[in-house]
Amino acid sequence: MSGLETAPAATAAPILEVSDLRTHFFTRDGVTRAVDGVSFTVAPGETLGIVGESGCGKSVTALSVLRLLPPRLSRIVGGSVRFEGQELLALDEPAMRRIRGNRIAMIFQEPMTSLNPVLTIGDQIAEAVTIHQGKNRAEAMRHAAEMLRLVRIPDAAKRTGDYPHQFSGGMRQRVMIAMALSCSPRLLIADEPTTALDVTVQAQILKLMVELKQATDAAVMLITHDLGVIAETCQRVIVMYAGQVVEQAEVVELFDAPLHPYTRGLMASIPRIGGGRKRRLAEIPGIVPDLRKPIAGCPFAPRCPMARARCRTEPPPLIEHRLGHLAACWYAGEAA
Amino acid sequence: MADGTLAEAAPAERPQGAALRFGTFARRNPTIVIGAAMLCVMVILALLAPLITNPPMHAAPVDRLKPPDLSNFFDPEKRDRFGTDNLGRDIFARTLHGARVSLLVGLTVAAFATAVGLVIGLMAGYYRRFDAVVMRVMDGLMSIPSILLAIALIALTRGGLFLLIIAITVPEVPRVVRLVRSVVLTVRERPFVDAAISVGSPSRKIIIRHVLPMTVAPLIVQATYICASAILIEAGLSFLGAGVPPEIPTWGNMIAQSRLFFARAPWLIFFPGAALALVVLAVNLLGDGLRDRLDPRLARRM
Repeated sequence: MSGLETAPAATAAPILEVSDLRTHFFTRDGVTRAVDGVSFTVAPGETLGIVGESGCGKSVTALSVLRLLPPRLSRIVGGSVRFEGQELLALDEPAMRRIRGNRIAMIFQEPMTSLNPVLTIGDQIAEAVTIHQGKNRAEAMRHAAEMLRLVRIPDAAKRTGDYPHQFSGGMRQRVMIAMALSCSPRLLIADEPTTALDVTVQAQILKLMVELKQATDAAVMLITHDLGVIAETCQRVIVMYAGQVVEQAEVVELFDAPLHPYTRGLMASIPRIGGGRKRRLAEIPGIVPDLRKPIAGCPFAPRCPMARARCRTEPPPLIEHRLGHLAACWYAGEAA
Repeated sequence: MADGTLAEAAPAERPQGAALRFGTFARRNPTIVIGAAMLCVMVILALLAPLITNPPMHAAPVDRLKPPDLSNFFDPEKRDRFGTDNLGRDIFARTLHGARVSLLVGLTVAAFATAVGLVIGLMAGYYRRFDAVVMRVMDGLMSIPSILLAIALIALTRGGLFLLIIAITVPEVPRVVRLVRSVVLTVRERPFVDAAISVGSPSRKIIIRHVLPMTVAPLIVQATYICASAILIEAGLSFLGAGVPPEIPTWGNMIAQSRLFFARAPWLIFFPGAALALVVLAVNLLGDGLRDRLDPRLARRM
């Protein structure tokens, strides 16, 4: 099931260690606690999936790691992000720039708009290499062609002179991957890399990512709302809800025995082939809580089918229920 | 790219292909071609003025206020093609020499205002802290009428062409700044800018590589409008006596000096006035055509 069977998690020292990360947005209507005490680690060579609904803070977590959030609206108010033992939140901007695109790279959701329409593909892939490795233009363009070949774009050397509009959506996402991998980063953050693509193209891109990951041995942080993508590519999964981690487990364990009622709800709402036409698709009732208001107990309690009095008053801690399987629920694992 | 393949396939047919493509371009963008052609003719005439006309300062009181005589137009000895003024000076020569000043002022003001406005606009749009201060200064500058500013500058100093250009440029700069800033504000929110930041590009590089090219199209269009308005302002200032010194033939000076005679000798005003109108029309046609061509949202046919 899992496409990647390299180093098991948590044996080597983690490449990325996020602890108690808190990122708040300061808007006119108050403070939104988009990420509220998130902790996780990524081991070298591991693929970690982060899954959750829209607005659960998964993208903000990723952007916080690279410190790419708009500075006037948001601030990382607490916690620590250690990458290869170095505290990223303490670095100044030039030092941070030397890490971005070089040691940690990012792939964005929209391949259609993440490329500059007036620069050639080759120029854009070469950008990171010229910045971080000081290569001259000719070397950088050769490298760009090499990267395009790596992401399986036919006739790569010729296509470096093409513009983004001459590429299809899937090809552009390949270009984005080529850009991200051009400096051989140790950590690749992919924020919904396949969401904007056709289903057949999604499969190709995921397969390509898995292969390239194995070839380069980079760690990957894959953000998605698609549990299918998680199942295909990841080794370990974090489930986020309302800016918090609610469950964390190895991928097989999570799909076999989800502990948190939210995770179960997510899994129940996946349509199944052969489920019968009459069967109504399960949904999680209610909406994500307003993150501007303080949450007294468990953030999922208002939507939870098994919530009891304690859930509404006391926030459940994220504790290990089985080996390597953590969940933040007072009644984790109980049948609904 | 199409050119290359065409040329490789049949080198002999290339001129024909180029002519054909120009024909298509002209049919699709008539205003660009007409405006550019008119402007080119004007520029060539202005450049050649010392070679093809009599000296514009040469006064001949015997020949004063002669009406235009277009017979033997190309006879270099004739001094009354467009008639003569109250001092017997050649209006044809003075009109063509006036084009030199007008075009020089128009083009330099457009170039200065665009260059200065571009730099300030990029900074203001990208560095938001800089923005608040700069835009208030620009608002202040915008409230100064250019004619008043020019008169004040000329009164303070001894005047001259360069000072005139500065005086016309200053009030035009805020318009460019606003335009560039608005483009920067929209471009910086586009995902490819985030993508550039995420690969570690420094701000300077992002501005030059990713933001600057997006401002070029609207800036070219704005530059043509600035050019047209600068030509008009220069003529207005010269007419008021606050522009170029009166001994230099400019259209504004010519019109001003013939105020007393224009009932008897309307050609004194007609030729510089017509030249002024034609140049401004040409520049505006070019600007409109470029706007339609460069902004796909406004173009009816592409």
